Amino acid sequence: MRNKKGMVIGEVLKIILAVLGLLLIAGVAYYLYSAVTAGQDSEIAKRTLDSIEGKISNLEDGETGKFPIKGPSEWILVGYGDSDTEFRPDKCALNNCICICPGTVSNFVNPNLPYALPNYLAIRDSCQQEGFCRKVSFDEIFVEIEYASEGGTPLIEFPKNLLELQIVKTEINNSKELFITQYNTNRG
Amino acid sequence: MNTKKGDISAATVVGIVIAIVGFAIVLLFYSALKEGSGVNAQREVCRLSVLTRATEQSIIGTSAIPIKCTTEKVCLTYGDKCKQFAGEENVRTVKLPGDDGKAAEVIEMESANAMFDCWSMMGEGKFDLFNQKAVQEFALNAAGSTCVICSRVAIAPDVEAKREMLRRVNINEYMKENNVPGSSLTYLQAFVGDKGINAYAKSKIEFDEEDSLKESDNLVVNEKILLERDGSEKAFVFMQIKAPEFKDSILNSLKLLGATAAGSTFVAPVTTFKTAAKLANPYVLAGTVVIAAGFAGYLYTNVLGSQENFEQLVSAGYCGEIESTDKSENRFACSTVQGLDYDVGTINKLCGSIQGYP
Repeated sequence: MRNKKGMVIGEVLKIILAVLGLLLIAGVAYYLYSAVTAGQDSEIAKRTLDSIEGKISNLEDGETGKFPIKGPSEWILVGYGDSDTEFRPDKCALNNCICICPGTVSNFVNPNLPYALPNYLAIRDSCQQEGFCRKVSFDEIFVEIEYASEGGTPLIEFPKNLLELQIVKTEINNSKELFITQYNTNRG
Repeated sequence: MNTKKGDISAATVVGIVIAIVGFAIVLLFYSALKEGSGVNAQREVCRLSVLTRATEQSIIGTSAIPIKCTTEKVCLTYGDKCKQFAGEENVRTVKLPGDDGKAAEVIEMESANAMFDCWSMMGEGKFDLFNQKAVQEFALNAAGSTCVICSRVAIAPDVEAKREMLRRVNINEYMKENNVPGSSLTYLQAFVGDKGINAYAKSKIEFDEEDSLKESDNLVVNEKILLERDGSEKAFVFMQIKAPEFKDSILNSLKLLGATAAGSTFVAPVTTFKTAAKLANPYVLAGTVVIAAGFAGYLYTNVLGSQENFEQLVSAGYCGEIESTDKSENRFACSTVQGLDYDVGTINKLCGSIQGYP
C-alpha cells in the first residue's frame, strides 16, 4: 500500500515537474516571439534596407529608378565605397556596403557649417552599434541629398512620411558606381 | 512481476503523453511563427495592436504599443511581375481571369476589400490611435495628420495594357451593389453603418475644368471621375487628424458635400469632373472613382482655402468624438480611408507622419 502511494506521489511529482518544464519552454518561446516582433524602428530599418537592396539589384546597369520609400523616422542612409574604407563600420565585413543607422542629419552635420563634411566617425559608431548594413557590389557608392541651390549632403535622413529615392547604376572607366539620391528643394 | 510491468507501463504512458503535449506546443509555436508572415495573420496582428494601443492609451495615456500593421502588397496580373514591387517581399499575386468582365470584377473586389479591411482594422476611426496634439497647433493640414498605409495595390504591365478591361472597372458601383464577405451589408452600408442606405448622396459641390470647386445642384452622381494623371499603383491609406478648432467647419463641409452619413460616419459622395477623358491609365480611374470627392482633400481646400492641396480622392470616414484619454474639448477628430496614387507628393500631402511597417 505504501509502495503504491509512494509510486503515485512520485508520478504526480514527475508530471508537475514536466508541466513546469513545459510552461518554462512556452514562456521562453513567448519571450522570444515577443522579442522578435518588438523594436519597431529596427524592424522598419531592416525591411527598408532589404527593399532598397532589392530595388538596386533589380535595376539593370545604366538604368535609373525612382522609388517612394517609407523608412524609419530619424534614421539615416549612408553608403561606403572604395573611397570610404577608413570610416566603414566593421559590420560591412570589409565589403562596400549601404547602411541604415539611427540619427538625423543634424546629429552628424554642424548646422553652422552646412558645407563642412559630416562627422564620419560618429556615423560609423552609430552604424556599428545599432545600424544595419548590406554588402553591395559597387566600387563607389554615392548616397546624398541633393539640394536645389546648395549642393549636397552625403547622407539621407528618413522623414516621418515618404521620401523618393532615385537610384542609378552606372559604370565609368571600369568602375561600377551606385548613386542613391534624394532631391530636395530646401535645405533642412 | 505484474507491479513491475504496471510501473513501466505508467511511466511510459506519462512519458508519451508529455512528449505529445510538448511536441504539440512546439508545433503550435512553429505554426504561429510561420503564419506570422501570412496575410491573414498580419491583419490580425494589426487589428490586435490597434485595439491594444487604444486600450492602453485609455488606461495609462501613452502610446508605447507600436501599430504593428504591415503594408499588404497586392499585384494584379495576367502573368507579368509588378515592377512596382521590385525587390520587395511578401507580395500577394492575384492572377486575373482572361475574361474582361471577370477580370474587372476581381479588380473591383480587391480594391473594395483593401479599403474596407483598412477601415475595419483601424477601428473605424473611433479610437485616438496616434495620441496627436490637437491640430490647431499645426493648422488643418498634413502636418497634424498621421496615417497607416494598409495596402498597396499595383497592376502589372500586361494588365495596364488592357485598357478596355480597365475601363469596365467601377469600384464605386461594386461597393454599392455587393456585400462585404461574411456580412449582409454592402460595402457602402458597412462604411456608413446603416442598412437603409442604398445609394450615394448627391453633392452640392462641382468641379469645373480647372478642378476648382463651385456649388451646384445639378450634378451627375456616380459618374466616373476623370483625371489626367497617370499611375498604376494605389495605396489604401487610413488617416486620422484631431481637429477640435475646425469642428463646426468640418461638419458644415460634410453637409455641403452631401455626404452619405449615419451619425458621424460618412461616405463622401461621388461628384463629377467635366473634364473630358484623357486618361493615360484607366486604373487611376478605377482607384479614384471608388466613392468620393476626397473628404480630406476637400477639407483642406475649403477650410484652409488652399487649392493646391486638393486631390480628388476616394473617401469614407468618421468625424466626431473619439475614445481618448483627452477628456477635454480636444476629442473631435476626423478619420478617413481612401485610395491614393502611391507617390510621394500625393501621400505626403495627406500624411504628416506614417506609422506601421512598410
